[in-house]
Amino acid sequence: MAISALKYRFWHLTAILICALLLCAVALYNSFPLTFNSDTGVYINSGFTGELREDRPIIYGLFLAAASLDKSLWGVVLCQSLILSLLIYYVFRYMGDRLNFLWFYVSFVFVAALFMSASFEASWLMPDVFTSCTILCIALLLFCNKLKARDFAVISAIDILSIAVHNSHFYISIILGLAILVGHQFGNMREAYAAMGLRIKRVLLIIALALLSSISGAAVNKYYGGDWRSSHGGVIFLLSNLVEMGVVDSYLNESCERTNYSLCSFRDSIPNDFLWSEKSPLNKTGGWAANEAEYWRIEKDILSTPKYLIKVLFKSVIYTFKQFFNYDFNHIRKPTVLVRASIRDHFPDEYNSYVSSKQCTNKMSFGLLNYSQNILVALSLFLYTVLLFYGELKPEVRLFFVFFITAVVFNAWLCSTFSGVYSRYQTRVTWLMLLPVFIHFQKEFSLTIQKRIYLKIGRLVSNKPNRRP
Amino acid sequence: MVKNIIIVSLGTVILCFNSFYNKFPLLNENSATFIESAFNLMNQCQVIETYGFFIRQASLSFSIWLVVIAQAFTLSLMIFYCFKYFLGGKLFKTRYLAFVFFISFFMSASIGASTIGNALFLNTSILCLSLVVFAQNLSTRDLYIIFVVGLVSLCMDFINILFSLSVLLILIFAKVSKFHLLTFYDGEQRNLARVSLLVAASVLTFGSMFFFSNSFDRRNECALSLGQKPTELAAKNNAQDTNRSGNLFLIEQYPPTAKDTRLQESLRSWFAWEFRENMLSHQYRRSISFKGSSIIQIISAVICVLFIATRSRTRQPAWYLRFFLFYAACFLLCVVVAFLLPAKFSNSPSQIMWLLAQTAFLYVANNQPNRQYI
Repeated sequence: MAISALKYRFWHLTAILICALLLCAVALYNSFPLTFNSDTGVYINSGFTGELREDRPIIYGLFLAAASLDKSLWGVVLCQSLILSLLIYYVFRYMGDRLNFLWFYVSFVFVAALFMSASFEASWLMPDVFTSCTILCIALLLFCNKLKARDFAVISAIDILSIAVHNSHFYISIILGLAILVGHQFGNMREAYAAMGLRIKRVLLIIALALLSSISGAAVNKYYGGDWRSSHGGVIFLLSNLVEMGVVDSYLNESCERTNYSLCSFRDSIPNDFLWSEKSPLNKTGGWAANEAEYWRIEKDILSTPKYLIKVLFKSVIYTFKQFFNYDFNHIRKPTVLVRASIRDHFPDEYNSYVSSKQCTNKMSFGLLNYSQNILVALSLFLYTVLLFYGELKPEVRLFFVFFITAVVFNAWLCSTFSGVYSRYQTRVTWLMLLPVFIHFQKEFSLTIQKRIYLKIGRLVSNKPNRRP
Repeated sequence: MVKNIIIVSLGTVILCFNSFYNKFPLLNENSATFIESAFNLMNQCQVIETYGFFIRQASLSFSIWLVVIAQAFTLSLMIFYCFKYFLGGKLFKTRYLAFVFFISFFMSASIGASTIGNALFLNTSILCLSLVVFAQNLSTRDLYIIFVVGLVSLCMDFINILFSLSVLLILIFAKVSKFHLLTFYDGEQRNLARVSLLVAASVLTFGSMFFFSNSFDRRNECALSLGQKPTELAAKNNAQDTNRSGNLFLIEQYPPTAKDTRLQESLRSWFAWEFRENMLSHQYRRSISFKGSSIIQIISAVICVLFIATRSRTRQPAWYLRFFLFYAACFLLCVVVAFLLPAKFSNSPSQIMWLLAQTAFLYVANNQPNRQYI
C-alpha cells in the first residue's frame, strides 16, 4: 500500500516537474529569461536596493531578488514555472475527474506552453505570470470543495503573493468576487452554485484575501520608507488612458476657460505617450505624486459630466474588445540600457550569456507562436459558444466555463479602460481560456471509460453461470 | 428570438476581429473620399457617395467604430439568414458560428467588415440575391429585412448595380432555357420576380442619385479640373491597374496611413476625438498584410471547388447545385470585371472568395433530406 502511494506521489511530482520544464521553454529557446523594456531593470534594481517607485509595487522586485538567490535569474523563471505548474496541477486534480487526469494535465501544459502564451509568461521577468496565478487561485478556492488543509494554505499564500505583485490583480480579484455575489441574485446561477457547493463564505474569503494582500503590500511599502499604500499609479494611468481616448482633449478645450489646471497650458501639445514621454506635461510639472490631486479632480469632473461619461463608457466597451483580441507577442524588443545595467550590476556572472541571448541579438521570432495562438483562441471561443449555448453541460462545468471567460473579459476591460490597450495585458491570460475545455473533455473521457468498464462488468456478471439450484 | 440576437451579435463581434486587432478600423485609399463625402454630402468631384451617406448615418456623427459595427452586423445577419434558410434544423446556429469563426480568423470576411470602404457590400449583395432566389418559405419580416439590406448594398457602388443586372440576366436565361439543371420550381419563379423588383428598385435609387450628382463617375474629369496633368493621371491609373490585376486572388495589403495627409485631415475634421486612437493603431505606422489568410483562403476555395466537383451528381440536391453555380457565377463575374476594369472596380475577387467556402460548409452540414434530388 505504502509503495503504491509512493509510486503515485512520484509520478505526480514527475508530472509537475515536467510541466514546469515545459513552461520554461521560451526562456530555454532564448537561452536566457526574457526581459521587457525598462520595467525588468526597474524591478531588479528595486528588489536589490529597496528603492520605491511611484508607478508600481515593490513586491515583485523583492520576489525577484529572493527567487534568484542573488545568483541567477534562472531561479526566478524556475520558481514562476513551478508555481504555475503546481496551480494547474491542482486545477486538474480537484476539478477534473480523478481518472487519467495526469495525462490531460501534461497535455494541456504542452499545448498552452508550446502553442500559446503560458511558457512566454513564465519565462518573462515580469509580474504578468501572476495574473493567471491569481485567477487560478480564485477558481481553486471557489470551486474546490475538498481542498486539503495543506493545499488550501499553499493556494492562499500564492494568491496573496500574486495579488500583491501588480496593481491590477487586486481589482481583478475584487471584481470577480463581486460578480459572483451578483450572480447569486439570479435563480439559475444560484442553482449552479448549489450544485457545485459554492458558498458565499468562500466569495468573502476571496475578497478578504485580496484585502489582506493589499494591506501587506502597503505595509511592505511603509517598511521601505513609503506611505501606507502600494503605489500611486491608478489615477495617473487612468488619465493617460483618457488622453488616448481623446476625452481629455475635448474636456480641456471646454473647461480651460473656467479652470486653472496646469494641464491647460499644454493642451495643444499633449503627446500620446503621456506616461513616459519627456515632453509629457506629467514629467514637466513635477511627476506622478505632484500631479495626482489635480488629475483626480479632472477625472472626477469628466466622469460626473454625462457628455464625457458617455464617451468614456463607449470607448470602454470598444477598448475591451480591442484588448480581448490583442494578444500578439509583439512586445519583445532589444533590452534597454537600464535592463543591461541592472543585470550587469546584480548578476555579473550571467551578463555574457544575457548579451548573447536571442532577445539581445534580435533573433527572437514569434510568428509561428502568434499564428498557433490565433488558431487556438478561435477554437476555444468557438467551443465556448457551442458548449455554453448548446452543450449539455453539468451546472458546475458550465459555471467553470463562465468563470474563466468572465475573468479573461474582466482582465481585458480593467486593463484597457484604466491603463490602455497593450497586447501584453491579454497575452498573460489568453491561454487560460483553453483550461475549461480540457477539463470538460477530461471529464467526458473518464465518463466514457467508466461506462465501458461498467458495461464489461455487466456482461461478465450476466454471462456467469447460475449455480443456484 | 433573444438567443438569435445574441448569436448574431456574437457573430458581429467576431467579424470585427481585424479592426479590434488593428486598434482602429482598417483604412484604404478610398476611405478619405468616403469620410469627406459623408459630411460634405458629395465628394471632391461633386459625386454623391452612397457609402458616404451610410458612414454619416451609421456613425451617428459620433464614432467611426459604429460604421464598422453596422457593417459587421449586416454581414453577420445575412450569413445567419443563409444558414437559417439553406440549412435549418436544430444545429444551424452552431454551424453558423463555426463558419463565422472560420471566415473571420482565416479568410477575408472580417477584413471587409473592418474596413472603411464599400467593398463589403458586394458580399452582402450576393448573399441577399442568393437568399431572395433560393430561400424557401421566407417569413415576411425576414423578406423585408433582406430586401432593405439588398437595396442598400446594391446602391453602395455603381459596379454592384451592373453586377446585379448581370446576375438577373443569368437567372432569366436559366428560366428561359430548357436545361433541366437550371429549371426553376414554382416558388422560385416568384423569387425571380422579387429579384427583378430588388434590382429595379436599386437602379431607380441609384439613378436618382445620378440625377443629383450629374455623373456616375467623374473622377478623371474632376482630377483634371483640380490641376492634375493628363499624363500623370494616366500613369497613376495604369499603376493601379497593374497593381490590382497582379493580386486578383490575394487579399490586398493595407498601407500605413501616417503619410496619407488627406485621410488624416478628414479624420481630424470629422472624428476629431478619435484621432489619437487612429495614431495608436497598428496600421498608422506599418502596413498590414494578410498573407496567411490569403493562402488559407485560396486553398479553401480550391478544396471547396474540387470537393463540389468530385461529388457524385446523384448525391447532390438540385437546389444545392444551382446554389453553388450561382456563387461560382458571381465569383467568375467578379474576376472578369476586376480584370477588365481594375481601376474602377474597388472589389478584388479575393474579397468574395470566402463565399465559395460557404457553399462547401452548407453542403457538409446539409441536414435537409427532404429537398428534391436530381
